[in-house]
Amino acid sequence: MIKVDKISKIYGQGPASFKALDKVSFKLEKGANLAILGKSGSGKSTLMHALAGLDRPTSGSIAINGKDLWSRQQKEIDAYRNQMAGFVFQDFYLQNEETVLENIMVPLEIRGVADRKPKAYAALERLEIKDKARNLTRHLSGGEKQRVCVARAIIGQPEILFADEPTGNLDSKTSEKVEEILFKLNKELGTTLVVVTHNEDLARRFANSIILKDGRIIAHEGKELAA
Amino acid sequence: MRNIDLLRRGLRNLRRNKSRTILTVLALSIGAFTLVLTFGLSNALKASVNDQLSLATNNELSVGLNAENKNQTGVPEYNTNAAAAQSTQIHGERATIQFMTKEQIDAFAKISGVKQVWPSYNISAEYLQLDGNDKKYIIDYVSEQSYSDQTSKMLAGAYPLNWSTNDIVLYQSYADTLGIAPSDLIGKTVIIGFLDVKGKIAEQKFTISGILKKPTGFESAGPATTGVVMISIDSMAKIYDLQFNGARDFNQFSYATVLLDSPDNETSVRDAIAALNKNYSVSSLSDIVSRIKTVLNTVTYALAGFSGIVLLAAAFGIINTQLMSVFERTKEIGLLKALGMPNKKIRNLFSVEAVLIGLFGASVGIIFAFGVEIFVNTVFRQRLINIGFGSHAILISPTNVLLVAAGLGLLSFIAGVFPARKAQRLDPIQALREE
Repeated sequence: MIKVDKISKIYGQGPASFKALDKVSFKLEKGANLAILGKSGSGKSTLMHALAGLDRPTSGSIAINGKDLWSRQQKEIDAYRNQMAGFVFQDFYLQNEETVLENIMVPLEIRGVADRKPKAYAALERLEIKDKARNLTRHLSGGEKQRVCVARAIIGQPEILFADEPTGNLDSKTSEKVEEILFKLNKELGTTLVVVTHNEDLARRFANSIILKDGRIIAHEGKELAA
Repeated sequence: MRNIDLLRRGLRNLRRNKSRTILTVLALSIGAFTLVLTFGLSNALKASVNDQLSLATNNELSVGLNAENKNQTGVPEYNTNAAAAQSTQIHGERATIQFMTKEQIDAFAKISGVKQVWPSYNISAEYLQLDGNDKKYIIDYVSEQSYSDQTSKMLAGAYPLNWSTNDIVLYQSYADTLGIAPSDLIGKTVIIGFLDVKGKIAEQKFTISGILKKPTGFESAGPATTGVVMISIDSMAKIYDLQFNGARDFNQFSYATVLLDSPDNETSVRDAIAALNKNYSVSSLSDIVSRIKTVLNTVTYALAGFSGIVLLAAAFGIINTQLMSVFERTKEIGLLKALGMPNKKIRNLFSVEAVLIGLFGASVGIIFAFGVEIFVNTVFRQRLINIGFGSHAILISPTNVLLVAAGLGLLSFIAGVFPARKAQRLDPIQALREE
């Protein structure tokens, strides 16, 4: 379970400071899916980064399975990002000069796992791109790249999958396919899915959603969500 | 992340920037090459010096007497008794030494630890004649017996370990000139002719004990290398007496040789000689060896210093390469951090890459140095042996290799610290957003 309690994030100091999040609170059940909606600058990416252990909130707390995330030691936060969280980025962030296999094994490499290939092939199989394993990622299409990105996110079997505009750079047909994959993972593996998007059509497919404006929750919906 | 994965990732990253990595590695390899070659040359020189000096006796001291006014400048005033002093100009400075009397020299024999003492019998001989042969040959230099075993230098016969007044050892050039096989000369009688104190020819007979090989190495640079004969000290004394007894400078010697019981006694004997007269100047083979080694070491360190400067410049190359790498890979660093790679491992990754560049540079430099060593030693081998230098002009030791590799590894690590820390400090979100 994710419990967010009055988190705020202020960038800068003095009159030039900017409040990206303003006392945001909500609870999300384990295995649920959540869409974070809002316009540019509404604070949705900041919220996701705070939940993912990437950006420390200025105040408030985030508890993951009852344990406060940001009061942990840095090495525990690193371990959380590596073992409990998975990331899907809009811009993929793949190493273009490396193969699909090398790219997706990075989380396990960081974890210190020696026998990584069986898990890597299993992840590629799930994403239906096993035949691309030896290809350099620069030779892949946008949709394939995003699937590689998802494979990298799930290879370590994370509890929570964070996706920041996962279909933002894809055409509608490919977007649909990627969305299917994400929901399938959420359903089949019980992975909690947190997606940041400004695409309302995509948001409608989620069981839970929150809408942010100027760093505040202005609307929320869903049975597994309590704001 | 396991260390092996860190190493693999480092290697992959270096391969990705091949041109830049190769250029930095080449810069480092030039320094490593120069450094290893410098050590190799120095080793060969030291080995050659040691080889050649190992045959020389190391338990002899040479004692001279400095004049009181040894630092005098200008031309000294003539003095009828000045025959007792010898004034020479060395490198623009006048150094005057005092002749020693036989009595002064004999006093050294009483010092504990001294086996034998003899003065410098500066005798000259006119000719050498093989008994029964009409031809006479010039003698360039009459050398006194050596107390060190010269057996390894013998071409034929044996080096006399217990010299008698009858023994003589000739240089190879006499055998060559006479056209007789060296072994056939052994046991033959030769006549040495010299001028006595009245200027008349006197002759002395000797039996050939052995023939010495043509001198090589440092000895070949000596004043006389062809017409040289070696006789016992007692024979030298006898001829000296015939040549100088009655002359003004008779029994006045420029230096004396002190033979020690053991090289261990050198310090105590030196002290005892100094106690007799503070103007005695004592020198030994160890002084020469130590002077040669000091010069060699100084040259080695100077050359190593130049190589060090090259390496220092190359170290800035590493800093530059790694800094560029950090800038270029900002997004990758952000991703690794986002995926949970600890800051320490990020720093280690860049340090590993820097050390790898250093080790590659060291390896290339060392391989080239070995190549040059093999080439030079093979091509010039015979020439080196002929001049008595030894069989190697370059001798690279495993210690040199380890030292250079470890040094370069360390230097690269230090050079990589700043870029590695820069990478470590990057904020993951900002790094991912970097354009």
